[in-house]
Amino acid sequence: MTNEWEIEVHGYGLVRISKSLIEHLLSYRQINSSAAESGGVLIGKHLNSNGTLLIDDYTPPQPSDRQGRYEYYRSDDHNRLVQKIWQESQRKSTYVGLWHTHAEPIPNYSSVDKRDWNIALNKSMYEGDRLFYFIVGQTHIRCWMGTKRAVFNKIELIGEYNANLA
Amino acid sequence: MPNMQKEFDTFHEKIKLKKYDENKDLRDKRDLLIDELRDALKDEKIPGTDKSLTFRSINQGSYAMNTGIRPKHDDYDIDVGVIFNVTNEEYESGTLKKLVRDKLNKSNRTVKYKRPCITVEYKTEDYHVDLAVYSDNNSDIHIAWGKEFSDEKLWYKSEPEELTSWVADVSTDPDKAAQFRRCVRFLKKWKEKQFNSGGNGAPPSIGLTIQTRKAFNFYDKKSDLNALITVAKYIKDSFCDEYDHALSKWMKNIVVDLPVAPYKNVYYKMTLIQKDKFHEKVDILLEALEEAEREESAHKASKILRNVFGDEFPLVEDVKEARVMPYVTSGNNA
Repeated sequence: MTNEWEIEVHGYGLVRISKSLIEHLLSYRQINSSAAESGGVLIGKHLNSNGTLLIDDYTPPQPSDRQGRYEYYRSDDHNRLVQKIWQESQRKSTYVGLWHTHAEPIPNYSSVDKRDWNIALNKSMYEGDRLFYFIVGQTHIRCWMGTKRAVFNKIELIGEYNANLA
Repeated sequence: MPNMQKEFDTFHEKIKLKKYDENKDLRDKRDLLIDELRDALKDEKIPGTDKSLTFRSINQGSYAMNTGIRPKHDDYDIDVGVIFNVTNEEYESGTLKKLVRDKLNKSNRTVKYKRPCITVEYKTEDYHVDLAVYSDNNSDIHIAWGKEFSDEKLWYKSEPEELTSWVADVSTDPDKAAQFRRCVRFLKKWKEKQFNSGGNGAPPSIGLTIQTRKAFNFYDKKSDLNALITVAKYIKDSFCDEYDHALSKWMKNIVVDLPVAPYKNVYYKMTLIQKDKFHEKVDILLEALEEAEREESAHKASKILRNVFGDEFPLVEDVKEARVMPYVTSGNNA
């Protein structure tokens, strides 16, 4: 796959997002007025070379999730799926972050989103001390990076993907 | 030891050329030219008779054998044979071939009279057609062979359909036959990457196809990599030593006869130096394949295979093991 979305993160390294993942996530965009929010987990591979992290897979919404126009609930089934993917890939593919959609062109996170991301940083289990969050808007995907810290976690916007330019 | 089968499958999907029955575009282009020729010849009589000159067409080459790869620069090669209802006595081979050439020679294209065929090249299209001219000769097919202004112009016994069947008959097991066709395509990519295009420096594809077919008395259920190793070994072992007096050294020569008439050496156009180089490259191929097979890391194995087959072979990422068992919290978004 060519045309990856690449984000150089100072102090961390190159984060690569595969073209096929972007295409899949864009298919969940809330473009028509009745489309509900979708979400799930970002799956990736930690690399020794040619970048630091490759985000190349995801879990799609599960029947046990709740999907509304302006709300989304991510159920425990995502955890089961991710653990299965981790095991079946011989521990190569693992949980690296979360994604969900917003019914706005250029997405911003809400207080509910931020709370979810902080809980994920504090309570979930993952490699290293960072998680990546995508919000898939109607025209743009934005990527934030969360860093786990002893006192206050840090959450910062690190990249933006314009679907209209792709 | 990674067997790389997933990568070989992805690679194969990328490089394979669809057969005519799945590729309407090329099929239409082929039919267009054949129909045009049929139309142009509709009033033509066999000399000295009132019998109409007619022909039937056959597919040949990699389309017929289902071993084609997508061309590098989108120059698709369509191979067709036209078998005329004439005997070798009714037409001199050069006369009939010239008639075909003249009927097809129009302003939007270049028509070339080559030794084995008439080649039609289009100025604005991404394909060319190689048209081999045959006499049916009472079901004893001969090909019109030789260049236009050469003395060596003759009817040459040929079995184009038998060759296609011989290749197709590699196995009754469809998995084995499919692995055979994949291996032929992989070797064609190897050839494309390792030999300069043009000239006779590279072994012709039909040679690689025939040798792979002969090597394929086995089927490796495990992996295409193992199958390729067997084929590369077989090709390497089919070379023999020959002393070159001009160069005062031992060289590697290879003779592989067509399995059907005219039973000539498929590598006849290559010089001894070119065949010696071919051997050297097969030797390097075999070493690389065996190294990839021994390699513990799929990442390193994929790099070796990209050196052999080019960058269309997928790179396996250099992935760190994620030791922490993941646990994902449930949660709300808005």
